[in-house]
Parts: sequence; C-alpha cells; structure tokens
Amino acid sequence: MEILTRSTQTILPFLYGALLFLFGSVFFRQSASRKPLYPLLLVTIAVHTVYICAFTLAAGHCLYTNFYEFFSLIAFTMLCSYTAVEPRRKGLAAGTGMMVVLAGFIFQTISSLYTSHEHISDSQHLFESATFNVHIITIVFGFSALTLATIYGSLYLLLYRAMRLNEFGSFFHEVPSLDKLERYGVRSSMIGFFFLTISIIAGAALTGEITPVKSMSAYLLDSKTLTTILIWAVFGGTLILHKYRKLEGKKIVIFWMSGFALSIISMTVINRFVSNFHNFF
Amino acid sequence: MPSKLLAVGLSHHQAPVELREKLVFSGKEIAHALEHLRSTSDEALLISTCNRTELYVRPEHAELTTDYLIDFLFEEKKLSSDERNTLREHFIKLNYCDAIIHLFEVIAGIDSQIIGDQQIFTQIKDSFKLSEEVGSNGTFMTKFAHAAFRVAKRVRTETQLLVGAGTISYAAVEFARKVYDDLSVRSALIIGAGETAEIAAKHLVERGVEHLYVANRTHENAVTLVNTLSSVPGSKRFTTMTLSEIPNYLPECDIVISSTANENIILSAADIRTALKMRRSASPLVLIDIAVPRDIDPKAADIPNVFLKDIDDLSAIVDQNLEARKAEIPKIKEIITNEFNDFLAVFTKLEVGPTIKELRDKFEQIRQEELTRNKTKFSDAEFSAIDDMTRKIINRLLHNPTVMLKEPRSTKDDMQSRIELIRALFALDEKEKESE
Repeated sequence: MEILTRSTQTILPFLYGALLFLFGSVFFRQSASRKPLYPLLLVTIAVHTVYICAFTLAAGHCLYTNFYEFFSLIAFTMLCSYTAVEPRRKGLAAGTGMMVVLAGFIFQTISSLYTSHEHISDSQHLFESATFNVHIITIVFGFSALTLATIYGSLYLLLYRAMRLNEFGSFFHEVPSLDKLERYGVRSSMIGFFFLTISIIAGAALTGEITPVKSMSAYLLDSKTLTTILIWAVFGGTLILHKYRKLEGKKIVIFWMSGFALSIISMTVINRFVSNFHNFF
Repeated sequence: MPSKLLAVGLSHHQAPVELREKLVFSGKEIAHALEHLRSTSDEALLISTCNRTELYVRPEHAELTTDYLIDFLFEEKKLSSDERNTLREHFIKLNYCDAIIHLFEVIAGIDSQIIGDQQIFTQIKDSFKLSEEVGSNGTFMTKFAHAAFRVAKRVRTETQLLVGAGTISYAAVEFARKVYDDLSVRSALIIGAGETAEIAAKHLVERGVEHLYVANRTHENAVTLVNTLSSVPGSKRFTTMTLSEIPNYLPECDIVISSTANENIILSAADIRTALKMRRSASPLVLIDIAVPRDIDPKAADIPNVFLKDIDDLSAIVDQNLEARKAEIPKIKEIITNEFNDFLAVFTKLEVGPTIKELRDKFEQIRQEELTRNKTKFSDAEFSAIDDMTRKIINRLLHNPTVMLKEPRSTKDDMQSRIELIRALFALDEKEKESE
C-alpha cells in the first residue's frame, strides 16, 4: 500500500501538469486537438481516487491532518466539481478548464512535495469516526465547489470586460458564453451549498458524539461553525434570490465573490488566532 | 469507354458578378440541362450558385471536350455570341484528378468567396440530389458524392474552419450568442427588413430564438420578412411593428439587431434606459447596429449592462476569424489528399474492372474461334487437351497485364494511361466502334 501511495503521489503532479499543458494548448493555439482533454481528465480523477484510497488505508485516516494533505483533497474536489458542472465530453471550454486545472496543479504539486509518510496516531479514534470523515470530506467538497463558482464568476467579469472593450482574442473564443458561465456558477454554488449543509449537520452530530458534555450551543457559537454557517447563508441566499427574485448577471457574480472573500478572510483570521480544530474540541 | 471526368466552371475567382449572373441556372433549368446532356454523357452534375456555375461530366465519347461543355452551357442559357465570347475566357477547364480535387476544395469551403462558407455544402448536396432525380447519377457520381460529403464532414469535425463567424450578420448573431448561448428562451428584435436584416433574422431563427420581433418603417415589408422566415426550420413566434412602436416592445427583448437605411437615430439612449428599467430580467441587453449611418445612439454603449456593437466592432471579429480559417487550409488540403487517394482506389476499380473483362472476353473469343475452326482436325480426346492447354496459355498471357492494371498507382493519370495503353494494344475499342 505504501508503494502505491508513494507512486500515485509522485505521478499526480505530472498528470495535472499534462492536463494543464493540454488545456493551455487549446486555449492559446486553437487548432490544437481537444480530443485527449476529457479522457485525461478522467484518468487524473481515477489516479487521484486511487491515491486518496491508498493513503487512507496506509495512514488510517484521509488527507486532512495538515495543510499539505488538505491541498491534495482540494485539488481533487475541484476537479471532480468541474467535471460535474461542465460534463461536456467533446467541447470542454479551455478557458475555465485551464483555470481549474492550474489551481489543481499548484495545490497537488505542493501537496506531493511536502506530504510526509510519518502518520500521526494521537487522534486515531477521531479519524475512525464515520461522522468525522463525512464532516471533513463534505466541507472540502463544499468549499471547492464554492471556489469553482467564484472562478466562474471571475471569468464572467473578465469576459464581460473583454466584450465591452472589443477584445476578441483567445479569451473571447475559449471561455463559454456569459449565460453559460452564470449557469455553471449557479450549478457549482448548488453543489457547494449541498455539501456545506451536510457538513454542518455532520458537525453537529459529531459534537454530540465526541463531546457529549458540551451543549450544542458550543458548536453553534464556535467561530469556525459561525463562519461556515454565514458562508452557507450567503450562497444559499444567492440561490434563493436567483430562483425567485431574478438575481442574474453581474449582481449574482458579486454575491459569489463576496461569499468567497468572506470565507478566505474569516478562515485566515480564525486559523491565525484559533487552533486547527474547533474551540470546544 | 467512359473513362474521363471533365469539368468546366465559372466562379467569383474568374468572373465578376455581372458575368456570373448570366450563367445562373435555376433548379428547373439544371434538370433540363442534365436531361439534354444524357445523349452525350453517362453521368453529369451541374452546380449553380450566386458565386459559381460548374458542370462535371463523365462523357460517353472520347470526342466530348471541355469546349463542347462550355458551348453546351451557353446554348442552354441561350446567350448571344457577344456574351459567349466575353464569358468564354473566364472559364476554368479541368480533367480527371484536377476536377475531383476541385470539387473537394469547393465542398470543403476553401474555394468560397468567404473561406469556410457553409452554404456551399448544402448547395452541392442539392445538386447531387437533383442529378440523381433526373437519372444523371450513376455509380461513379454516387461514389464521387460520398467522397465529397466525407471531405466536408471531416473538415467540419477535424478542423477549426467553421469556428467563428465569417460575415457581419453572422458575427452579430455569434456575438449575441456569446452573451446568451441558449436563444430558445430569449427574444430578439430585428430593425429593418432589407437583405442584411433578413440574413441576421434567419441566423437567429435557425438558432431557435424564442420570439422574434420585426420592426420596419413600412409595416408590409416587416410582414413579408416574417412570411419568409416562417418557412425557416426552427421558427417559433413572430411579431411585426412599425419603428414608432419599438419603445413598447423593447423591454421584452434581450437582443436587438438593427440594419436600416435610415438617416437618423432610431433608438436613443433614453429609450434604452427606459426599457432597461422596465425589463423583468437583470441579464445584459445586447444591441447590434449593422447600419451605416448608425441606427442606435452610440451613447448607449456607456449604459451599464448594455453591450452595443457597431459594424466596425463586428468587422474585427470577422477579420480575426478569417485569419484563423486561412491558417486551417494546410490541414484541409491534407484531408482532401487523403480522401482523393481513397477515392482514386475506388475509381481505379471502377475503371479497371470493365477493361480486364473486355480483355479476357476478347482473348476467349479468339480462342473459341480458332478452336471451332480446327475442331475437325482432332479427336475428341485431343480436342479436349488442346482446349485445356489454350485456356492455360491465355491465362498465363493475361496474368501480367491484369496484375499491372490492378496494382495501386501513384496518380490517376498513370492509371488512365495504362488503361489506354492496354486498350490500344489489344484494340479493345474497335468492337465498340464497329457496333456503333
């Protein structure tokens, strides 16, 4: 298992790199073939799945005990969310794909370089909890999908600007229409909202499981929980306004970007002053 | 023996529109012309569009020349001798491989006035269909058609030739689609009922626009345009109006394309601001002004959530696309070469088969004549042995010529010259002449 973990950990940055190269080729040289994009995307996801499984079996926990392990999980969930949001075998948009894969490549390369194989054992009982695993995995999926929504939002603003300024280069041709970017963004935020909902519920269940003496209010008043609920509320509110109040175009994009900025700022502040886990733990 | 493919034609490369228009054939005229050609040719194809008239013929007699075909076209259009003299020098004349490759280039869209024009594919497809309907389409033309369609399909799927707009009106629709890719839930307003407006409207309808409003100074012309558009596949809802009614309907529209000959501004910035306030949707409003002088107030470009593009903006898109299309030509020529070689292999079989059969029949006929003449000189057993021996001799004698004819060749001309050599050496065409 150790050999499989190490070999997939080494291969993954190269796979992300190859994917980035292919997306880049299509983006900058429009005559390049798109055919290998989708198969390589699936291969990368498959190898990454094998890596996560092998690592989990070898270490006794998933990739969440430090930032470097987390980075790999973020790369994986972003790629999965992208494939779910833009499920187009023949016509993957090189513009969006390149942005997602670039982020994935950076995260995975750092992770592969610094993830150690000396496994920690003092929190082993927690890692074996199914609720804990659901809580962590869904929060990563949730934030990755919301990040993806923000990427689509950024591309929307860039394309909007390019079209206003008559810049009809590769960016204009290789990024999907404004309509589609908005649709993909909505889809991503729906996925993110769904996973965050599960994560918040799983977190509450976990609190009852591991710290029964502490009340539920301790969980709800925890700074990380509060921030997550706030971000969840921003994205949820955006979806409701989109559905019932025709929140569209640049306005919805601004909401996504605000939600994402809120998550980055709050997480940075909390991680700077608070421990890696929740206060009450 | 029907061994040639001849082609004559006149296109935008050789002749200006005032000359080309003299040789434009309607569907009915093409059918008549093909019927008249059947006495002199086995198979024929006549393509006639606003940019080209081309005749492809597989002649029945070797005497049929490209000059005869040019005269035939003049005769069909009943042109005067002055017109004939003027037009004659503009014709291209093609034989064999050149004719095949030329049609492949035409159907691929790289010979079109606007490189990558997609209309030509439909026009050639219709021409082949018409040829089939009047009985001018045999085995050769059918295989020729299939090869040509394969070229067009490969160009569509393997190259970027058809990516992006090649004309201003198409660029207008493409720009609108960069904002709204799904037009089936969008409404559009066309201002004007002229040719450019009609083309843009057709593009919108073909892409399934949910509701199309047509506004024109003369309401009847708007109604005429809508009647024309109703026959376009994908048409849904239409509303016509005069120019003064535009402000009432503008809030309903996501896309506006304007192309009139009006001297004054039709849509003011104030009209657009008012419409934006009344709109139910917060999505952008796309305004495309293809008219010169402009129909839409240029100040509207500063209004938030509005995209206003004029003819110069769209020209930039078209120019970039055409440059990108030109860069695809080497790849397309490679596809054409591949398909040409494949077609040549089929063509070779079509040409060689009858020649080998005729050669063998001729030898067998001579053998039978000699055997019959000398039958009385031998006993039955001896005759049987001689019969067997002469058959073997002929088989051995014909082995090399047969192999030589069947083996793959580098060019069509090479194959043709070998067929002609064999036919001349063994006088295979004499029998045909005698029977005539």
